Amino acid sequence: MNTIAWLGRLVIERIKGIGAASLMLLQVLFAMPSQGGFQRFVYQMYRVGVMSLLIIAVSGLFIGAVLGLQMYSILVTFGSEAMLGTAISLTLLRELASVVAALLFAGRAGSALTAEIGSMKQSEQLASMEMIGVDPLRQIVAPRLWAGIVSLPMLTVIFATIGIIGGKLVGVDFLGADEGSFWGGMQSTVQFGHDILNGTIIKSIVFALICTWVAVYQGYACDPTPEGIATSMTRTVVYSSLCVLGFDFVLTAVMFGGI
Amino acid sequence: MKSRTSELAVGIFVIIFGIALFFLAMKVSGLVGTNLRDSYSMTAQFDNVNGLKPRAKVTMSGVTIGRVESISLDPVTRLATVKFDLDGKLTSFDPKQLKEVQNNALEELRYSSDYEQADAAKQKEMEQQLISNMTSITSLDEDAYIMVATNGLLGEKYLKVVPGGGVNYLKRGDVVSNTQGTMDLEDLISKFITGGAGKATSSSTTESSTSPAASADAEPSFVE
Repeated sequence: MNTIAWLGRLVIERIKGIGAASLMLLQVLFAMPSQGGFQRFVYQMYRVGVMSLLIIAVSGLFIGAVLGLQMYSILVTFGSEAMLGTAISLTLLRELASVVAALLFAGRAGSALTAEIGSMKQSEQLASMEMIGVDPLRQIVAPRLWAGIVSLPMLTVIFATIGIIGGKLVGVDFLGADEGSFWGGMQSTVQFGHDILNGTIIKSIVFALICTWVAVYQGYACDPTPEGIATSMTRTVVYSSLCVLGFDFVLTAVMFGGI
Repeated sequence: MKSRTSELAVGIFVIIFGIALFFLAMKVSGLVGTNLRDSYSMTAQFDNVNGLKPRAKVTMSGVTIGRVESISLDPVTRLATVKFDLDGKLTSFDPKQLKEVQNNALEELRYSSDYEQADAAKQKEMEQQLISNMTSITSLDEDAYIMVATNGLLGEKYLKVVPGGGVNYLKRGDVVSNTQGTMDLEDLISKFITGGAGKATSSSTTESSTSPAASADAEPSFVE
């Protein structure tokens, strides 16, 4: 009997959490921009986007390089290393760029957002804002959410570009695949509307919404103790990674699977 | 000061994003990078275009001169109709070459029997008609044929224009009438196995998709 009650409580609490998070998202997304909101948005863009640029660039370079190395060694065994450019660019644009950038973003920027909002809650800054009649959702959460939604797609495009350059560096410059067929094969296969717009940009907008939403909600709803903040940060990374991977499958199936 | 540096950094971030998107659009997807100058479209009908895709290249002597625009099916002839864009810069004559081509054509005309039988006024008229016909010609002659070729053994399909030796040239927007569709490896193998009896396999796909040249080649060597 107790276990059934426990299961019921668990489900009710999860659904409550989703409901609260959805309400918060609606309030934030459709809130009127507050005074000086743009400055706060730009500052959050700097903290969320620009500060993640280095890790995104470095991982993009290395993931592209590893792809170049592995694909080349496989393709060269049946003499079709001319397909190297096609393979690298399609892998990156359709799947890897958006997923890996979102995972890195959840770890680098998402957890920081949770910790920041959580410690504001712990030091009762959010409560005192409400006391003086300032809406913390508009003042604190909205600029961070919008900054995340805008900056992750940009980071993803940069990731894909640097990845392709990294693959070219290893495949063409080190291993000696033909440069003309590298770019030529890529250009004849990659379609801007289908691969870049769908695969990279639309996917990463969805992932950006998921990652930042989870991060700010976990911070906003955390238990205001040091332990609670730590738990929320862990949850941010775990939930956003799982959601990103799950949604990636759904989006890929819809976009490329012909479902 | 803090907000100034952060604004500057965000500006640089946006610029980097712009460069990256531009790179993806131009260099990776070749969106505007088709760089066909002065392009015009032509069509050709094939019995089989298996494996050919839109945006595949069109080459002559190994030089890319255009791109496949669209592939559709003609409901009457039931042939695949391929529309492709060609680069006007690479496939037309400059004025000097055009003069030479016209002179060659006139030369040819003067040796023809019709011309020799006609009187002087008629000859003049024929010459003028010939010249006026040659205003918007391409460097593809009427004997040229176009085939679906494969890049390497397993590579992608593309269109290959093989120039002929004629002195009559196709105009922009014309239909290339000499074509050869995709050569199906499976059909060749099945012909090999069944001893060259192309009719013995007699399935409709085999009949329609092999070129006559291939079956003519295959038959004598296997019948004996």
